Amino acid sequence: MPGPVLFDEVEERIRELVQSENSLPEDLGDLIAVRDLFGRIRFVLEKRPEDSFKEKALQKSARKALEDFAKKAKEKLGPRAYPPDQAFLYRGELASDVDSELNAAREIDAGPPRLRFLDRQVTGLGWATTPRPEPTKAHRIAFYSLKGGVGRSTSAAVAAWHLARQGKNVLVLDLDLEAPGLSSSLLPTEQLPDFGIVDWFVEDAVGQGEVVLKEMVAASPLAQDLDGQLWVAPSHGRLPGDYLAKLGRCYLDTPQPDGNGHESWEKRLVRLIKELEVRKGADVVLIDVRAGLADLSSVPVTDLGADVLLFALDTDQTWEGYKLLFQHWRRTEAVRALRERLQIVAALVPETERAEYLDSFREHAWDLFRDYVYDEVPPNPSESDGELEPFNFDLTDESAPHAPVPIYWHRGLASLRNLHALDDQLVSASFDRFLETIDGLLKAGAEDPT
Amino acid sequence: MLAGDGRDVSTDFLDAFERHRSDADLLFGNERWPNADQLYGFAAECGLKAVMQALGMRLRNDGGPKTRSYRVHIDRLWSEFHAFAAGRGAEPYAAMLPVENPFSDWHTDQRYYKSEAITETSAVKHREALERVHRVVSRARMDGRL
Repeated sequence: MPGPVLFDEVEERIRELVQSENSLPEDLGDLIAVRDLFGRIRFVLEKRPEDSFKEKALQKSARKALEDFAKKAKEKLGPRAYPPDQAFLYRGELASDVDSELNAAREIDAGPPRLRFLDRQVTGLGWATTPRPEPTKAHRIAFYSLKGGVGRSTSAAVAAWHLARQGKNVLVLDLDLEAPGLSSSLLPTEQLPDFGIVDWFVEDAVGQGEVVLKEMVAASPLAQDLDGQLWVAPSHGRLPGDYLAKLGRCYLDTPQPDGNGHESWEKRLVRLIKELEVRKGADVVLIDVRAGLADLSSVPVTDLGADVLLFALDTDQTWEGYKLLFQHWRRTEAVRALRERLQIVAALVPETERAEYLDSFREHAWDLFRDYVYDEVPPNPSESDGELEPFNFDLTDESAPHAPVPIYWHRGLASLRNLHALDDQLVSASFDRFLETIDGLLKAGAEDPT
Repeated sequence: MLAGDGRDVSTDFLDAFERHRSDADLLFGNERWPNADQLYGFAAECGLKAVMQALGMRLRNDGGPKTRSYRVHIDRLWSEFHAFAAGRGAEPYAAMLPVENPFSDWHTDQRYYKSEAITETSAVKHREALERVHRVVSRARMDGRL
């Protein structure tokens, strides 16, 4: 009796199963292994034996092959398999939208028959979205970190202030809904708009998002004397109400108003962001993203075509966390679409031994990018004629996404209660290189042929 | 058919859903609108009840739902399904169905009606609505809930 099959072993076991049990007739079509929400495996075939063969004898032998396969699967996968009589589903009998989802199953090298694998998940799928660039006038920048407390929100606020000084029309979104706070540095409590992002979610769920849209963005007094404008959409408004009750309802797919299908909460969020951009005529949108690997964090990172600033400390914990995320991107092939928009930021660089700290940071970041993000360089580049140039950077390349953009820890900033006390000297001591990078991103965006 | 403990084990909502659905399509293909229409309604009821059962709806010994408000046909079950799904992690299923019940004009009493009373338009509308239920059932099966 084989031992228990753990979650991560399933794929390999299925591969072995298919290689050892190759009596499934090819006329039944591709074999798709679907991992359900509970981590159990069910197999989807194109057609039933009755629909694949005219001759009774062939039907019978195909049925027998399926039965044997299902029994072997049960033996091999134990509680991760369905009972043999429920092991198979047939594409023709599933609704059309599920059918199209099956098309996205990725191929596993095992066959024949051609074997593919599909993960059904409640959450976490967002991180694997193959991003489609969102055509927009506004340049979007997402501020992301694995953990809180690295100065991510403060940096977003400083960047907003910096851009508004240049005369830009800046919109800042506080999407760290579980730990709201960005807005307090840009907006004093008494100047908050009536409503926040959570209010829009609960109102939009019943088709009346419009009601709060007008009252969920306020101008930051920080930009009062600046050339540009600085708009803030906070997570909650001046009237927070029962914030937790609303928060619990944000991640909700809703039926379309016309009753035609449904809209995922991720799409609703993208719709909100676009709506606010248009209303405020924003040139730049800065998004403070929830820390960690939660689903809410995935949307601004993968779905908005935004530049993504990855805030990091040079700690094992940080690099291990990013490894999990990058591995997932690599496995799901999202990395190709994302990598040109990534930039690592060295947050809270200590006051002493800065150069040593940044050297070590750079090496760790390079290890990560080299393993999961960069292409391998062909041994003889001249032979790769006609191929796209490999996406690869040297350790010391300052223009590389792994090259740390430093934000220096500064006593004055650490004790800053609100950003109204910001002054040039303080900002430039900590943020010079960081703000240069922001300017660079905008410049590159403006030069994009799109 | 009773099990040893007195439970009626004849009820199988998923099987009944498939049967009513395919029979309804046969009638529909032969332009037998009134009975196709009736069966679309029963199919939709069975499909939703199959999903509800998979999500924890309890049954009585006779195979019917324990909760009185769920012992109804599709003209009332539709909105019950929305209420039931809320809070059971099943909101994505509810979200796949419009809030407005497309079977609100469907009644079991219509089996007594004269043939002309149930039109092709009605059968087409309920056939489309059933396709939505089919999507919910398919998704629940892919998710491993059903």
